[in-house]
Amino acid sequence: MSFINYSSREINCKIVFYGPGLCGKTTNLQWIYKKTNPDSKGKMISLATETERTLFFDFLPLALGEIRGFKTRFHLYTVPGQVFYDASRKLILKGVDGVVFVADSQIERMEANIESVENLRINLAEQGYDLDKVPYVIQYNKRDLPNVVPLEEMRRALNPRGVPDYEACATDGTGVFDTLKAIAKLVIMELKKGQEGG
Amino acid sequence: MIVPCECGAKLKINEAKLGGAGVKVRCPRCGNVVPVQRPSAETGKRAEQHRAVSTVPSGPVVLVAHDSEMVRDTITSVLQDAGFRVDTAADGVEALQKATENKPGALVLDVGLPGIYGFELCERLKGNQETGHIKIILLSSVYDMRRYKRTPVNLYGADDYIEKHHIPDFLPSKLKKLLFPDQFSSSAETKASDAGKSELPEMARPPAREFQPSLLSERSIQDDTAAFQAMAAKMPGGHTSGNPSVHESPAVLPESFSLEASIFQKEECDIPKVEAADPAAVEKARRFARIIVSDIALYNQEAVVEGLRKGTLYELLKADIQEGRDIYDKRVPEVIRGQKDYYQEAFDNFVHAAEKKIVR
Repeated sequence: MSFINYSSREINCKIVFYGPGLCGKTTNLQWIYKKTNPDSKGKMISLATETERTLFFDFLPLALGEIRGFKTRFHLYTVPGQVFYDASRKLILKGVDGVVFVADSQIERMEANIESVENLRINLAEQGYDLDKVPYVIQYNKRDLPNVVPLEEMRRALNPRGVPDYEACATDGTGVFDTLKAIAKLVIMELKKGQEGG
Repeated sequence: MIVPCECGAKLKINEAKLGGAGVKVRCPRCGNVVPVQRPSAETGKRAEQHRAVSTVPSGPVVLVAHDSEMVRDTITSVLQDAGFRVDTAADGVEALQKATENKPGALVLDVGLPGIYGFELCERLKGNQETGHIKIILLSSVYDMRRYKRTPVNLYGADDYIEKHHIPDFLPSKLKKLLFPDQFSSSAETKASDAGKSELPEMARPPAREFQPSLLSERSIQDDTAAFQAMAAKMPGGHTSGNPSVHESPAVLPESFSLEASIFQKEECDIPKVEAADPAAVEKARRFARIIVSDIALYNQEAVVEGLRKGTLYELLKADIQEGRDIYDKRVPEVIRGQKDYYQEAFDNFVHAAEKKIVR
């Protein structure tokens, strides 16, 4: 749920990058961090192991325009992807406003993608969210690799509802900002809907 | 007695079944291991003394910032017993305000704080001349110490880091070391011990064994498990065989399992009921086993190559393989596990395929 700070006139939204281990969630955030105007971003925080794998989460505050005089500040998080880290994933999903599912396009990780989407749905549901109602986009990452699953097959397996989806190669930035813009747009639309309703 | 777990569960412990050295119980909700010790008369007396000290106006104030009231209360109690005065904040905004206005000696800061995130707040305070001196210990919400035995490489300005399940044992000593570094040099310790004066660091419990990442090594877990098993064996109705699941400690009263609603209530140990012949359930178990193996291999690529070349794969990845086994057992219904060991099958298939790729 977005956090509104009336004194500083800021709306803070939380976007979580979800996906199986080593699918490129941190790489997405690193690219966004690298390519964002220094005035618009906070420092990227990454709690990683000595082998550079995300231990707890990555965190990146990002300013993206205004809504009715309130600055919107997006807090981007990643989750640890390995199956072992479920408790941390649940914790990081607390208060989420939008989710980006980063899928690993490699054939050998398709099962991990499917498991991860199912895990996302379950973990959201435990907190009263419905994946079909939360702002949600999908990114098919690592499209530059030779052993990738065809796009249509990935869509069938991971995106039956037809949410916005993007092909990406996070290491060179392809598709990274398209994905971010899409989720930011959905979150802002949801915020505006909330304002109009209330 | 009631022992709170960091996840909010209240564990009812049967004191009559506590040994002298205490016992470790696993929280049935979050899986954390919670050390439990019998409150002795001496401990009670000491706690009284410490509470008295906590009202001394000159004692250092520790600001505890956490969104869970239960966790705040637990930490407050631990710190007051150790002689600290404690103030609390429920979110990042309140923590920032109190830290800026009151300038506490130290701040115990949860990384997952709502409002302003812990890391961000830490950087703001450390970057501000007026608050930069406040000692900050980051609190991590960690649930499985074996997975988190690695220490973070960067604390983002914080002075120290602690995992929640280590709070009772290590937080007071960590704070004392930060707030009274002089008292903790070896000569100072000797001097303080000789003098027996009642300054804060000496008033508190003897410094607990300092937390080091190595304390969470596989060896220490095995030692803890062995100690627990030895303890459990001496207790009436205690059992020591099989998986070292500490929550089976006879000291945990059955009421502990009736927990209040929380996001952690449906932990991964919440196994769905399935029919043995359900082919979908079997396939799901097999898939889950393959994913565990795939994750282990992906995160240990060098060890896999070395292990396959030297025939030491199972030895090199012993801890990860056991963890994989634990999570498989937690998530896959017994009726499916009983049919065939799909986890082992997944490993065998992986090794067979990987040997072809790697060894040749």
